[in-house]
Amino acid sequence: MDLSQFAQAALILASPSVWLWLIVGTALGMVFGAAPGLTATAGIAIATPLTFGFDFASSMALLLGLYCSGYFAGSIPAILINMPGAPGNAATSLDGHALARRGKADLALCLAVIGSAMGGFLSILVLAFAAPTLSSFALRFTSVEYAVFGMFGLTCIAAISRGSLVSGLLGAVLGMVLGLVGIDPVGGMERLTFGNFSLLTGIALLPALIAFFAITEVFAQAMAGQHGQELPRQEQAAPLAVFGLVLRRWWLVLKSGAIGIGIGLLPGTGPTIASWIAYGEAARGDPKVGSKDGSESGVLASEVANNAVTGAALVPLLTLGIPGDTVTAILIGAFLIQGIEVGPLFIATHGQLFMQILILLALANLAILVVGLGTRRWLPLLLRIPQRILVPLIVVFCAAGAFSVNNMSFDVLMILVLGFGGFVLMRLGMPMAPVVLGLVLGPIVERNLRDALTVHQMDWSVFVTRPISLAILCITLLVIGVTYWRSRSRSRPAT
Amino acid sequence: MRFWKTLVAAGLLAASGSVHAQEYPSGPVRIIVPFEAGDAIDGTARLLADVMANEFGSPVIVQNIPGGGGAAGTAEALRSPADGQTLLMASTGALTARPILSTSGYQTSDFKPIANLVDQPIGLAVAASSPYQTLGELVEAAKAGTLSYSTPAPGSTQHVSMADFASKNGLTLNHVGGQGGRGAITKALTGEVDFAFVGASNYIGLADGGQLRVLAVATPERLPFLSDAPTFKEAGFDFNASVWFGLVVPQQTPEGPTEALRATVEKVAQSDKATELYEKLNFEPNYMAADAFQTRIDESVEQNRRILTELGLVK
Repeated sequence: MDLSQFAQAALILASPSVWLWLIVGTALGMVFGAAPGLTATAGIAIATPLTFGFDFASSMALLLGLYCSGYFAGSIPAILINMPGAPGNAATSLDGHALARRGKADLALCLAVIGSAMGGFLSILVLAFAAPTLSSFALRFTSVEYAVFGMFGLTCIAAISRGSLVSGLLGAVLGMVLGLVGIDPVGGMERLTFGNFSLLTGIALLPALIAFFAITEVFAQAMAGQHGQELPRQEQAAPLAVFGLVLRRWWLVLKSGAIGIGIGLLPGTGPTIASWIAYGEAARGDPKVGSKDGSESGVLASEVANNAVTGAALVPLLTLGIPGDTVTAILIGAFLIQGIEVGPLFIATHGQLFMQILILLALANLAILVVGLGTRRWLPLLLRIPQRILVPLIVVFCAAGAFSVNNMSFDVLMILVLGFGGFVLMRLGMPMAPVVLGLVLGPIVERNLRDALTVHQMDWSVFVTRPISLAILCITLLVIGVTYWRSRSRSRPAT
Repeated sequence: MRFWKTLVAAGLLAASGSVHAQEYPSGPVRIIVPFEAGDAIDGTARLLADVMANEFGSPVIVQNIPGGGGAAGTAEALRSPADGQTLLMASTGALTARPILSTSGYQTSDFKPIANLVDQPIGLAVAASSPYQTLGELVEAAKAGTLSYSTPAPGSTQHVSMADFASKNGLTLNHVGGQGGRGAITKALTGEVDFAFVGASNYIGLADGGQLRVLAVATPERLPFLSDAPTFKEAGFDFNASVWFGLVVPQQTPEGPTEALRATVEKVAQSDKATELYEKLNFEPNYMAADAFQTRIDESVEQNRRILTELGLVK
């Protein structure tokens, strides 16, 4: 790193407009992240054309602020009302909402804030010091590697369907079947649309999340009726104590950060997969993760990984001009507006702008800490609203959220149908998380498997002759083996 | 701030169910973009919306309805009231190829043209490490064996036109979709496919950085932003291909609003501001009035039908 360049770049800190736009960006990110149906991606798409008259630093302050806080803020409704604000926070809701049900919403929120910021900072380090090396690593991933990587991701099913592996697997298959609906990504033909062209779009992840998490919960509340479970009085958590708790789990933070960074580097992935895999990994190490009581580790793993994607997804963008996730895809336009073509020459020719990006990212993560910890005290007040008022409100938000994803009223109908179906299945003992995981990973495995076989002329041996693919396959088998062995030794009576 | 204006306008739009149009526009105008925010076509629409709003003195809102290769948004535009308040930003593939490929809820003839706005020329590129130095070498290799290539999606203009090129020149090619232009380029960079065939402006950064070689652009003349890249014609192939984006409205839209829109778009699409913004994003401004645009749409349909029939992809 060039220190004089860094010093020059740091001059942007003297500009009030940079601070102003950073704060505006962070605040907008909170809104877009927390509102179900709206995501950081949508926020950045709307904000990008507004940056026409901006200088580079102000433009990046607004957009990166929105990016980082948007990825975090989806955890707020995930924890409080079991409705992830964005797909990347779905894994957070499992343990986060379980904690809230025990009166520990404040603790879960603290963990999400601190975990997100830590994930963000870890990813900035990687972006600052290892960007060119890592982007050449990312370029070794082809469809072959993505396909086996997706299969590895599916091993998380075992971890997130505690209790019954069979119903977990069934759920994942159901999710994958739902993922088949729409236009086949390889052949371009329609599938499972039953002649209904509204289904050509496929079942988008956001409406599915709303249906399987929030709507099923609403049905469950309605069934419980008058005697439904009111949440207990919420305890306050002390942020410093939570910091200590996080630091004692330093290994989990590093591991989840590494998972988020690794996945952020890979073009075409994103926070959703990162948070699920980190969560699954945490669950393998800690039987309390995913249990009825919820565990601090589950929230932490998911949120660290989720935000560790941010800096890492900028690596392929700034070194190759290739986006690491959907947000960075839109950022390309923001760079063009500034007259900058991102690509292999960006860091070399625009070193100072690169430093500005690093500084702004660090500030954005600080802003998450300040704003997140500052406002969290009032957030659990939401839970004091009596259920008979809160639940209808949630339904309205869900419907609005589902509508806003594609601006289609069909999606509102769909969350109702999927939500009811999900509720029935849940009553029959099927966990919802594997369904969502199947919907996330199924299309990735399918598309890449078929692409890989197309370019390699139907030669299945590529999956074992390419070293990275072979390594991932071995790890996958190892994980399955260990899981099986552990479950056998657990079920054996202790004599 | 424009952001808030847009929000208010979106609210107004939602509130103003049916509009009885005497003068046009009688309220906020909405442009449906049938792709994700951030795509090239989305940029085109947002830039134009800005200039149009100034001209109309009423808000112009861009609404993204992605999915189904552009089919979802296109079908939605057809379902909206045909009063001229809803426009569709049509792209080649969604308007003229999708109805041939699958059930889509609309036919190309369900829409009538306002104007073509921009073209995105298509180019062919290989990774720096690729053995092919010229288009000629690549073509010879694809005659001798099988090569693979990537485009944004199956059924896209890029896919259909490259398949046409292959069948005319006797090449054997395997196609994979890249989930968008940049994704398709990634597949070429990683060496997964032998070449990419996407919008040429996507190549600029990587070509300058020496990671990609643009072997040919499918345009009559060389492109100003990729001046080192020869045209297909220079390499001895008579082949042009580009993606176009233009505005259309449902066929039932009354004459009044249609003519008003055509007049306004004619003015704003050729304004200095629009031209400058389009060039900044490396689009090729190519304003075409309604009649010329209709001819172009008909040609695309005919070409797509012929090629997709050859490929066995007709529904």
